[in-house]
Amino acid sequence: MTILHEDDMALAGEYVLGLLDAASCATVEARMATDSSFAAEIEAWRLRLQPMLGGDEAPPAHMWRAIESALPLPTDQDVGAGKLLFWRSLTGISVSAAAILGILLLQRPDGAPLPAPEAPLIAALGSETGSASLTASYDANTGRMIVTPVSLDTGKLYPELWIIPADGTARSLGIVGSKSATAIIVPADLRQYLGSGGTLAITPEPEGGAPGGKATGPVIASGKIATL
Amino acid sequence: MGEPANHQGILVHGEILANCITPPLGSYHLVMGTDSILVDFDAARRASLTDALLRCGKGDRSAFESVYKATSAKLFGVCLRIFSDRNEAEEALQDAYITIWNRAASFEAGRASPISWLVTVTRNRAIDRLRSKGKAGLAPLDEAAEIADQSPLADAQLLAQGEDDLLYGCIDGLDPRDAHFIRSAFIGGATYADLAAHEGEPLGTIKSRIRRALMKLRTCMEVAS
Repeated sequence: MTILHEDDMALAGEYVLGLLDAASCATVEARMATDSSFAAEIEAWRLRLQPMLGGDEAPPAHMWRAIESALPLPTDQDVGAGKLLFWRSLTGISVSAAAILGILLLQRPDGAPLPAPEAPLIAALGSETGSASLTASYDANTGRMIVTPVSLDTGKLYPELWIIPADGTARSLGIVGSKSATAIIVPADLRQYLGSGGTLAITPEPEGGAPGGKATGPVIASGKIATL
Repeated sequence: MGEPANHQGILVHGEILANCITPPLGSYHLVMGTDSILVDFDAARRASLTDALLRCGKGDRSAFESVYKATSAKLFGVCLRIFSDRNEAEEALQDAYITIWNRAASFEAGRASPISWLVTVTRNRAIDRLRSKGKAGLAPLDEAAEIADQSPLADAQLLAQGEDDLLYGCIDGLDPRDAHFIRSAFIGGATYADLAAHEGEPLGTIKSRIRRALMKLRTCMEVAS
């Protein structure tokens, strides 16, 4: 628990109002994950401002059928599939995509299993709105990260990947592909930040990456790093 | 900070209960009064909604239908507030529920109340849609009066109305321009850049104004509650 200052309280309010830029947003979200007082302040702002979002009104009866028919079809693995299911549902990616990534993690291209390494780290990156999602896997033995877009559209801009460790400062891992998987050899000085509890985030940036290493676009997807 | 403030108050009425998803027995909190038993259906409702949302995260479609039945009126209200056009509000609601289904596994029961999480996902998704249609920006000035004039529709909303009055009472105490900015950001998707351009003032000035207004609002709501 930390003591919140007035600046933190106002920051939490700005975040809930949707006023923050990408870099501040990413910092707030990283802090929410580690600072329970700050997370509680965000929740309090949500509850305070919620009445502004209107009163109850029943939607037309046909809405439920429209929503139900638009849901992704259930699969055999959908119930009780444990970790994979949790992982899938975190980003809305399909179980098969997760399974493919699992194979990427556990096999060399020649099909031979990897020697028992340190547990690989994974992150499922999504947004509260579900508009963008990716998965990332990282092998600390080789310093190699594979970032696989599931649904990612940055228009004319380019998706830039950031690591946000506990200190809340976003550090760039470079531009990733929006259509196909990207392999990144993580620079040696950034590998210390890739551990359980850190956050990966994507912002849309101009060609060549965020100027001066500071994100300029909003965070369109983020996710915590976890041990597989 | 303990339990989040109760914003979903429900008075005990048979008709209302029929519309609620059945609360699990274990979550009833019985409070003995002098000659009656007051059942804390709000806590029960929150517990059963939390449970249903967690089951959605595991792919349980019947739980999703329960969540829809318990929350669709509230979330449609959110969509109607952001999109005045009914068709657009219906599209936004559909979009919101599909997002809720896809993201249910990321709901952490210990960190947020289920209704707060659902409203946040719906609001954020609707604002994204508003922005992608190029319709985000400052709310019309006369909307403040319209919102403040809303009257409760049923006894069940009396408690919630108390919370509404608290917010609107404190917003009334702000400079009307600041109140307009806050509303424009939250329900109109306006950014600091939009507000600064509209006012012809530097972004930093607008930012300081809003931060001060937020602290004033917070203090007012804390004192009044």
